[in-house]
Amino acid sequence: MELPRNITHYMKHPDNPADSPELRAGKLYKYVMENKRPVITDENLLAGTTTARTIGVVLYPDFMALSIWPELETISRRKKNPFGITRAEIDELNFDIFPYWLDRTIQEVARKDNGNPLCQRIMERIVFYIATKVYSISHTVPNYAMVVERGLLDIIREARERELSPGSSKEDRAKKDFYQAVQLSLNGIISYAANLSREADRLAAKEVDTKRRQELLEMAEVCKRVPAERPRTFREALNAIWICKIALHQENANVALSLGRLDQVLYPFYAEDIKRGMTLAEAVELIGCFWLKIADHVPLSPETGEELFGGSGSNQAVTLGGVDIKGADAVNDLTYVVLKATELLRLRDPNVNARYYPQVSKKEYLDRLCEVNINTGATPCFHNDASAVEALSGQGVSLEHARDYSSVGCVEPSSGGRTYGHTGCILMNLTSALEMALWGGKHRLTEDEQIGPKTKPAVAMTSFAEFKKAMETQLGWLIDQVVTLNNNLGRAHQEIHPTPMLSAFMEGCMEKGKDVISGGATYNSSGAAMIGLADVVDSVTAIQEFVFDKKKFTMAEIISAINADWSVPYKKLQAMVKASPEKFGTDSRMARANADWLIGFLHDTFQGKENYRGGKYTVGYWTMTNHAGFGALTGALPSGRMKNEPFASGITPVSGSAPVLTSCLNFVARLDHTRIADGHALNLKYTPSTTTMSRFADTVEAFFKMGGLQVQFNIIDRKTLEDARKYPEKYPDLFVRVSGYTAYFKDLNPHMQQEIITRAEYDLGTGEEQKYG
Amino acid sequence: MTASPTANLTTARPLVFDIKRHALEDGPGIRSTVFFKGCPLTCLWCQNPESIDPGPEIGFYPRDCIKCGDCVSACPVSACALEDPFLIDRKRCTRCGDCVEACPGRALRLIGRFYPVDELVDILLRDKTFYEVSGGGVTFSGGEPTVFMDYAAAVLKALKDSGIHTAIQTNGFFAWEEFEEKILPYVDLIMFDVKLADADKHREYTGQSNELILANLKNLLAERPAASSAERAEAVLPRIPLIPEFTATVENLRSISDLLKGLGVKKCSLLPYNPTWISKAENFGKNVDPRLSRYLLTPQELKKYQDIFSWPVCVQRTGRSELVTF
Amino acid sequence: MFDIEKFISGLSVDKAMDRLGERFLKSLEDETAETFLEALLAFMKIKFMFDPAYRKNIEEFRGRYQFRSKDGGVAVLVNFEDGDMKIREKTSDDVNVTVSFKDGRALMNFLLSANRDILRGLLNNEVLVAGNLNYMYKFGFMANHLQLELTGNLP
Repeated sequence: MELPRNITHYMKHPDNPADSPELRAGKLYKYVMENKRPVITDENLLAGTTTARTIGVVLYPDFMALSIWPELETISRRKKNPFGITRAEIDELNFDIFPYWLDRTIQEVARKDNGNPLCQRIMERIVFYIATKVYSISHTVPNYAMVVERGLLDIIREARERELSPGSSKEDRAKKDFYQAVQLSLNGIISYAANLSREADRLAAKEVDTKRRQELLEMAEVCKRVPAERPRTFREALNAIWICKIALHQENANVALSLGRLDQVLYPFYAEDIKRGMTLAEAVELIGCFWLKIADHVPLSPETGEELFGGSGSNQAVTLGGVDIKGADAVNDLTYVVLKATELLRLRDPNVNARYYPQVSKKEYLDRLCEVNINTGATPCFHNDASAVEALSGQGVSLEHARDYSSVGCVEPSSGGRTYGHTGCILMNLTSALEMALWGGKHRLTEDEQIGPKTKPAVAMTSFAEFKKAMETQLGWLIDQVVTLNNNLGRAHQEIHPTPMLSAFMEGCMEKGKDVISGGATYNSSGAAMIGLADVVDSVTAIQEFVFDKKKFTMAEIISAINADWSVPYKKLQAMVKASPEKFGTDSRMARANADWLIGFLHDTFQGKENYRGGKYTVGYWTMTNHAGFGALTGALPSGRMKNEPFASGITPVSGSAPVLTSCLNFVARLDHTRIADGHALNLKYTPSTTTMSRFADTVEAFFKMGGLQVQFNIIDRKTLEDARKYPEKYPDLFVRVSGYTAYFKDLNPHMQQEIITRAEYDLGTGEEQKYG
Repeated sequence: MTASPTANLTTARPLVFDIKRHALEDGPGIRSTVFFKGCPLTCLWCQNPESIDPGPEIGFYPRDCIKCGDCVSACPVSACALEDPFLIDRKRCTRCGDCVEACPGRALRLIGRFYPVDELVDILLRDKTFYEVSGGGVTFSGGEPTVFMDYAAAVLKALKDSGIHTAIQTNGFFAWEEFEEKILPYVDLIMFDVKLADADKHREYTGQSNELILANLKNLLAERPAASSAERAEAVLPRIPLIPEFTATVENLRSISDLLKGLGVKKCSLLPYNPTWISKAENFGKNVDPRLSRYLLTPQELKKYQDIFSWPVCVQRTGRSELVTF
Repeated sequence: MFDIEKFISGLSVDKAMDRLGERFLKSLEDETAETFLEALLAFMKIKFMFDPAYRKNIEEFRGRYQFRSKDGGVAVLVNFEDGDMKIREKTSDDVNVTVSFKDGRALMNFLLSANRDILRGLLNNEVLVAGNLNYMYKFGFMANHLQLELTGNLP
């Protein structure tokens, strides 16, 4: 409540609409930070909270908070993720806060500026794509190295100097506004830290427990110094980062605002403290405190969102290990400390991403990663440095910067602290293009409406090439729409929502004198995640094999079959299609060619588009919970998939169609990762077993040597998951890997739970898929 | 050169009944195991009875069956019936394969397929990276791979040319000269079954005497100019299947132990009995010898047998490559 | 169209509110919920007229809503302005938001969280909203509030 109250109050009263957007934002966040209540929670060594509670929901009235308006009076009693709210809070939101934003949210400003364009109306049909800028700009890694190496005062000093430099052109004035906004908002953060320090002193004065009193006094000292000054200790460095992260969460909803390479950024402080006598246990405790802190806020979505897409955490990725900018092994003691904390706490957040460079990283490091994965069941995930560096280099990132990549959100490689890559700004449902190719630009969900361009109805097609052409037309159109929408939304952000704090922590912005949203970062790109890849490849391949190559049945028959949801009399057709070995994730040449074609087409088409900051669009294959949500809305497909079944997640084969582990890894590894620059999530499940630990590492190593980009595992069997679905109370902490990030199983919506249960599970002892059912 | 003891089998084309990728129990590392069809022995306890006959057979996989009945109408001898839980009356079935053709899904499959050498090598090389990172490779198993010396040799040679570690699992019933000439140069590891020390019992339970087998084992372990004794010991791993009442008797294991010791063996492997195959075989009207145990070995029994051997013994899990039916 | 004036003529304010409330609740139970929209709007209107606490929702609020059924049978323009609510049978493009719905039940399913079957609504392409969604959210709150109040479920 604190944030919407403060933002709304400021915007209603002190805000001066005559100021530039940058300056308005600078003043706003200074106000927000100065008026943020300092909260110190029990039993944590780090000070500060995202909300005014120990764990709270943040409502961003300028983004999508209004979508819970209809449910304000029922939300405290809903089944999934209920949210406690008082009568007074409801009234405040309903009467005072929300009405102010009716015409002022990003979504509605973009709509109005562009005359309620088709691209935005298409998004509201749910099943085609989602453009996430309506929720925030996020999915990036701030430059925390800057925070701990310089301190905010030094950044303010630089902004001040630049502001005072000569020049009075229009451009210069815009820059000066930006520099002023940086100073204002960072001073706000410093005020907040000072308030925390006073609060810690106040609590210490009345604390009776001597140990806790000592902790509080230390906390007061820490907050007196950081993040204004450069931290001196490991604890100060962590608290400095945490306070800045809190600030960034006031500016933007935390949708995968990621942490970057913490083991690198923090190592000097860790090493110093170890020399001074800090024990390993103390280091693990501090990391643990930090892990608990970053999960202190939860997203709030309306029931529809929960039903279809719910259960996500904030997807805050932390990245470990890998190589340094010179290409040498960068794994250090802190890497292992962080792994230990992860292993002990088994938390949903952060999403722990481990980098591994075959031949450079040490085998015992990989073994340890596998061990932690087995012990936690779901984390960390594995990234291949060799392929990720190549993928980023292909996007114009310098070699040194590419080597310094970290994972954003689910899996997206991004040169951290210098790239604004909004790697999850677009989530596109590939099967909707497939539908439109089958029905001449119409979609079953939107019935007779002509959505996409009119292409020849599939029943009239005489060659596979013709079908592919129609797919390309529909995909191309869909991409046009979603890119237009993202660009519209980006411009709405520029107009009403610059982000001076994020920009202060982003390399490039200071030099250019530009906000992140206007292209200030060194690297500018936009990432689009594709949903339903394997289902579309299998469908297209089935059409190629059975309709055009073998002519076993006609396009009309396959369309009747999917319209009838493969029911009698189409069971035989379905058995034929399902039994075919021509599938994504096998040795099939046909499926591989189709996957290469589709991935190539998507990459080339998106790369041909420019975003509103002059950057390029990249494509990735990771799906969060969207493959289950979109799946629930989608009819039967030519692949043999039935109506409403979840799609396969990420870049994972369809459950049951890729029976051999090595073939599956081989298939995915050999896809062209330079055309998958927005990352991919290969989600596999291994049957738990203690005898095959070393083989686990071997499969990861082999996958990477063949070129694989990323892979992640749930080490759990179906029986356990099914039991957990039935008796959630028995498994309160069971956490699983969804598609890129981890989530508590009990929080997931039923479609997603079902997908994880049916997801391809391989027995490492035999390398065979354990079929579902 | 003596005539091949398996000459009657080799007239058939070499068929493969399974290629198991990511195999972890057929030698070191991650391996691909090729199961050949056809075996000169007829061990009472054979876990893969479908591997004895060199000809193709028809497998039924009930979980993939949608009960469409196309096989029933396709079968020329009326051997298929949907009411039969095993679908096929094996006594009537002539293995013509018409039902496999007719099946829209993969509920009926032809077990035993001929792969041209190039194609088999191509499949086996697909997992090369897995072999490399894990110290694995390719294993030939069966049935009995030495039934098809020329074919096996051609594939093994191609694999060695690609730098792949190769292994073979054999019952030892082969013509030595031919084996020495065609196979030996291309295998890194020979897993050699030693079942019974007594020749008569061997004949009774496996259909053949053990003379040739033991002679071959001696030959393998005998000094050869090319290899040091350590290398030879490394390259040959005797494996003893523990079949209660048959091979797993103190008397037999003692004899085998003495025999192996006498031959200078440093390491061998015990394969614990796995009774799961029995019900499967019975369901198909196979005669299962009533003396065969229906239980797993107890840890105490296993320990007892292990103790008979005075050198490092590794106990392997068994029970891979199970077909649903045959 | 439903004639509110006629329906409540001769009734006391309290009685009129009761009767329109009952009518609204009853419309929810009907199989097709054919009368849902008019019952809701009528009850809303009388609440705005006589319940100052509820009227607070539309004080200083201006919003124009178009509701129409996909078959064209229903077309209602609802105009909120400075504490007043006007309902007219009319189509207009000059609105903040337009809601097209298959039938009364679909609209009810869409608007009221207690009666909701989200998947069904989406899968059957039942309701289409065009325009400023925030206005729709606000309307959703006001509609839900009425139902919760009548059924004694307000938090």
